[in-house]
Amino acid sequence: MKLRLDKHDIDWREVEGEVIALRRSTAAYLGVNHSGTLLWRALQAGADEARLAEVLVEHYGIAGDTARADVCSFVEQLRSQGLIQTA
Amino acid sequence: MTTSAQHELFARVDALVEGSRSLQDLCLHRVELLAARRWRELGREVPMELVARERKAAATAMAAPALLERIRAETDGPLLLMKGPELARRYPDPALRGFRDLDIVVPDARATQRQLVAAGFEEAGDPSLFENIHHLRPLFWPGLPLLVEIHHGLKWIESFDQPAAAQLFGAAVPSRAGPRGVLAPSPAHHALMLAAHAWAHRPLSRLRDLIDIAVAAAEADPEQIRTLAKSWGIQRVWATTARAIHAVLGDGRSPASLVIWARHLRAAREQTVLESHIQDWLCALWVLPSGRAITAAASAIGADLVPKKDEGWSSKLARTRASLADASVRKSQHDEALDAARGGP
Repeated sequence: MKLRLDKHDIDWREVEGEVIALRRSTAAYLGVNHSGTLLWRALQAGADEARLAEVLVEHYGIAGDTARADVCSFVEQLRSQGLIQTA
Repeated sequence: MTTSAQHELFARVDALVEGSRSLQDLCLHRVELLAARRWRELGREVPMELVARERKAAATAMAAPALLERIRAETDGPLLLMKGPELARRYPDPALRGFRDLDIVVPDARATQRQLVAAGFEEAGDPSLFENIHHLRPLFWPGLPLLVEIHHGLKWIESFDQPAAAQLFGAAVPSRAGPRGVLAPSPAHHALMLAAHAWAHRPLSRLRDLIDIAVAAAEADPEQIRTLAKSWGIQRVWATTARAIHAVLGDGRSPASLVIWARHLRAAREQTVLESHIQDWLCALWVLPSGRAITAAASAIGADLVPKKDEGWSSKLARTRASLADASVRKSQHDEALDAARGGP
């Protein structure tokens, strides 16, 4: 299933390859590192977890299992902060 | 402001930034975020210190609309947003013009402050610092990196009457930075408010002040601004400011103010000790009517020739010797040396 950022409640900007996001309703900020920013861009375009893992594999040449574990952790973090929804 | 006018103005800013000799100078002129953008365009490395400033500016640029929505929802009556975020919307990207607070003029500042505190905003800073000034104690919303200053008046030039709030509200336009229901000064009002504000702090001091005034003024009829300036009694302030903008950010010739004490603007550098003293002594000549100007200039020179309150003559003479020796040195470097000689700032 595709994941999508809650664009009604989140503003974000990218500075020098890192995303800074603000969830307006809770006044909570999130800083996203370089690899997270790659995933963030893919989320903006509309991606599911499998596609996100592919992005990491393509960019960093890491093993699929490692990429899937990283994506799972990243998505869980975003979900726990109310930043993404399942389309 | 038309896209081409904006492009032309910021191309000139780019040229000034490129000519600057240090990041310290660019920070002092508050154009470091514009410098970062330019350096990236030129393929130059942007120092991490500057990237950190960009991240902070991005965070505050995002926080402003969210905070304004809360303020609008929790208060009654008109809100007039001036300076920071309203001007940032006129830059090529709002994150290129940093700000630390939201300046909001309201008809009843105490009532608005009470409403915001009741809604969960918290007051910051030592209350004694905000007695008898133009705004109340700053407010903040937990988690958001911006202060909110509720104004019952404007920062204005000493010995001049500031315009009535009713006049500002009467000419106000919808804010670009805030949600529906938040107002901003009309462009002519805003340009003059910014010019007076800058002059009240330190005249023709920072490049960013000129850029701010230029972007506001670009949306108004120049004749309308001149007429309004005359009716507010600040026509000389406006004329001096407009000439400086034309010379620094346009293709105008340098007026006397820029030649005598504000050369640092064109070089995007800090004032020297000598320039700073000349400014203190003479800037009244560019603002006040001739009789009052001469008295004010004589008074400023006189004040500089005698010891400060609680200062002895030996200390004063030592300061004077240091100033003469440091005449062409950066003002901040000179001040640091004096502080060090006194045993700390």
